[in-house]
Amino acid sequence: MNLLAQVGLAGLFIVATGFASQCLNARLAATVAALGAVLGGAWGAFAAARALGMSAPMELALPWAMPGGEFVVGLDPLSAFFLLPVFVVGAVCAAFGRSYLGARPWSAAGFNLFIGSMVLVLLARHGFLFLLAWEVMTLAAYGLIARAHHDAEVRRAGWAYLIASHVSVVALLLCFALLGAFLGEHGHNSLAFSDWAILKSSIGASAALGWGGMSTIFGLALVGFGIKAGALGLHVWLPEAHAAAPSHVSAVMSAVLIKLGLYGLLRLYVLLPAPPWFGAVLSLFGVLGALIGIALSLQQRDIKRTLAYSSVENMGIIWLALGLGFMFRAHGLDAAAGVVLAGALLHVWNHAAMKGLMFLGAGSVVHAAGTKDIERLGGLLGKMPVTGLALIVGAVAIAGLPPLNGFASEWLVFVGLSRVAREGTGAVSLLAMTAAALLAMAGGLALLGFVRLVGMALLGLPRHERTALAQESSVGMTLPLSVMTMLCCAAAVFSPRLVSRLDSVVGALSGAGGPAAPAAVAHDGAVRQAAELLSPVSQVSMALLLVVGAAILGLRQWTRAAPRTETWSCGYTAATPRMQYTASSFSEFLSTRVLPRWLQPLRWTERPEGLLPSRAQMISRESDPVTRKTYEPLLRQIADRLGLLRFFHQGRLQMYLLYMLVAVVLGFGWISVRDDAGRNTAPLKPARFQPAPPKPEARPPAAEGR
Amino acid sequence: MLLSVLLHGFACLAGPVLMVGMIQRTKAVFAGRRGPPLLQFVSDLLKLFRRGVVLSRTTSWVFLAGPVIGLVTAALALLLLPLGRHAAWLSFEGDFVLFACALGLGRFFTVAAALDTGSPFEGMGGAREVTLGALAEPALFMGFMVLARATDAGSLSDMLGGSMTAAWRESGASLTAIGLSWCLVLLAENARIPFDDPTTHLELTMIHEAMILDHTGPFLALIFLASSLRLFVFSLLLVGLVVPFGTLETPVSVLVALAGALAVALSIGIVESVLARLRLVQVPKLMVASVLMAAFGAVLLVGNA
Repeated sequence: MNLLAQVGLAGLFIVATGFASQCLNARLAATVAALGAVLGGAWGAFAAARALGMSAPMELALPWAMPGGEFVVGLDPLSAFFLLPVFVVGAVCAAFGRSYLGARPWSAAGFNLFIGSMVLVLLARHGFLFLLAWEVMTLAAYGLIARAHHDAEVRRAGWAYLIASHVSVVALLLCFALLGAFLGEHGHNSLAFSDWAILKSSIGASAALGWGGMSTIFGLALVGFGIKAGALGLHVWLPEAHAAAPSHVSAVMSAVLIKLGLYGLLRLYVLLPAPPWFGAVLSLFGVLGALIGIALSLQQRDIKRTLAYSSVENMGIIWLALGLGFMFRAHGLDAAAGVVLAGALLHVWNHAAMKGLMFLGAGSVVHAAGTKDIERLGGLLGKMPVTGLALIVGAVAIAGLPPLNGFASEWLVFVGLSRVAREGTGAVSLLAMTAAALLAMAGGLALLGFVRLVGMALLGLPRHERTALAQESSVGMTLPLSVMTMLCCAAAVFSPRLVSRLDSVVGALSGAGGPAAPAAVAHDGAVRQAAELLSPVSQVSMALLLVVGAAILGLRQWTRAAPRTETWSCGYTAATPRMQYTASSFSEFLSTRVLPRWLQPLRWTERPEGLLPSRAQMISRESDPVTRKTYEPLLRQIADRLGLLRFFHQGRLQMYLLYMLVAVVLGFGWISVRDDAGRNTAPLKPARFQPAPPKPEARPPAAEGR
Repeated sequence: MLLSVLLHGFACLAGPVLMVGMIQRTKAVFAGRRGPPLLQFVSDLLKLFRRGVVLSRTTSWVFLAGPVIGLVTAALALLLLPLGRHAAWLSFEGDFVLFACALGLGRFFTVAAALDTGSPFEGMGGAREVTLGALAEPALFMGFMVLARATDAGSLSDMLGGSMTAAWRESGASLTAIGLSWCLVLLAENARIPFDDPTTHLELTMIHEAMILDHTGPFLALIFLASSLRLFVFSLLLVGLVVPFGTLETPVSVLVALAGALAVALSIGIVESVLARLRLVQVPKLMVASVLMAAFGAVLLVGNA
């Protein structure tokens, strides 16, 4: 069976088991759905891994009744690259979710639908189908986020997600519609991706669209996909939704869903000639996201918000590296750019593994301790050894430290940057140096943020009675966690092999972008070179893992009989857990002395005054500065203005039916007036249920000459 | 060749110990005392290794991991550094990133071990350590990038070895800026005055010392050993940047580098004798100054070309 069919059927199998299992009783149904996701995920992952090396892209057109739409699906290395984490993380999280949520068959089915829709997004090769799958994905995720809707916080988060996602859909709709309209003028009245390539292959077409048109299309795409990908400024839904969703859903969202925004951008970048500013804007978004994302992450009290902001940071790193890679290539530094791009892509995989691991670990902690507040956790490592180890491994990986996988990809980016710093001309070299310094700063801050998370949640003493009663989660949760932990370690040790699999993806990106670029510009063996570069790093990683692991095991054995006593408190003997440093106090020095005020949490203090001070208090609240400074005032103003429209809210069904009727009549009226004016000569779509020929659009040849 | 390898090994073993002794001796002379013997540090370590271990009830395996990983990563950093014109044991393109991040890993687990005790003082020290570390990182990386361009080399051994002589001739100004920036990084990363006072007796003002209050016996010895290695490593980095080894014979250059490290120790001793520790709130400003200095170095270098 060909790979496209395998991937498609794997996705279909996941969705189908989810819904088909509903006829069973609740426990069995949830188990069958999870099992379906695991099996389908494994199948799909193998197919996707093989598809990474495929030479020619596959496409398949199926008959579809949708007017204006075609059911075209396809598979190429770029899709396969993103499909792999979808299947792997999806399968692991589905297994985790079975134990985490218990017997909730509809949640399990929704989860499977979510995975399946993401597969369809990646396979879709037609604008219409893509948007449809995108919308299903968005709504399925909404259903999962808002599962605990009795909680006002969750409702708020779901609402924020829904609004942000639909702004994204509207932007994408406009973007695709503009493209479709333009192509229509040029006789390709189709939203099929294969037709978009005409803009690249024919210089005339891209010239007709011009700089402005291209900029508009890419600007809209940046907004639409950027919202999903958590670009800074558009990320406001992300921490809310990740904190509210069940942990295995947050894991999938953070590991995979936000990557699909990136996929969308890269897909457009491969298909269309990008405007020259694209790389610069991408890296600007990236550097802001990396620094501000991590600065916000390390101040959060909610463990899942911490992780969510860290996703903003990591997406920022990826955006930055991609943007820089595109820019360096434009300056003729192909080899170095290839290394940077390979690092960025490897980081996509690595971040999927480690953020999946961290969210599942956080889920296990939340499940056991009953709170997401880091300041109520503590001392969990002894009680939850597997979860604790998983979180520590994940934290080291995300902080970009050796010997784990986060380091491997960031290392590649740094090496690429150092090559550009050596070879580039003045400004480009300075850009690379600055980027390296800023990335290093983000890395240093990530170290702070994740040692804080580990130290406060797992180490020390429990800060709350409830936490002291926590126990290790069941095997259903610890097993998926262990799998993800293994994945992170394996991804570090086998990083050269992983990179060498990226060859065709980097090739696709390298051949893309410029107007009328030839299909495959030689990318100079950059990926093979990157793999060779990585091999000493992976060896050192393996040695470090072994040495450190053996040393810790040995010392544990050796100190087993060591006398135990109280922690030294400088002579004070009645220390209590409440005297421990808290998460807020840990980040306070950085927050108040280094970060600008607008990044700090809001604080209200009442200082003790007078000789006999009576009361003093300090309240601090973490709020997103972007939401607080821009969106909240803006939306409030809009809401005030829209109050004028409240007149139309009659609350009676008849009135709404009347509105619909008026809208339909006006719509048809407009179409008929337009047709009478004789402006629209494009033929209508084929009738329903006709099997579509390979090239279903009857292209009017006359339009070519216009 | 064999001679260089032997000298390199000797320097790596003796350098850290001698540096600690040198600093102590310098400070003693400034204070009008005779001071301990140069190899006092070795006796201290041996004494600590013979002692037993007492652990806090609160702690887990992370507490043990702190000193071990601290030592392993410091040793790894030492393996990555060339000594004089003698290449490092481990050398490949981009090894400077591993150098910086390995030390970061050591910091991660040192701080995690501190937090594992649940002591407020250790939390305090840990928070300060990671904050200063985050500010030192960009200066270090900017410096590496400048060095990479100035010497057109990709690995530490190629950068800091013989090619630095030509680089100084061409872009001395920017290398001076990097040198100044790295002096501050050296003092900050090794918890030295004016950033931190290694001999302070008040836990509230400590940074590095506050994190190791609960470590006893052999574990304390491992920590002392690791911090002496870190001091040696950062001094070698500075020496490699500042001293142009040119066409010196390799064995001679190894000895010159060792002497350079001892000279760094001497200057640290002098700095510690004549300066007082800064107020903690002033420390981030000094770190920002070091980052800006490194940025100046980059601009000068790029503008020069």
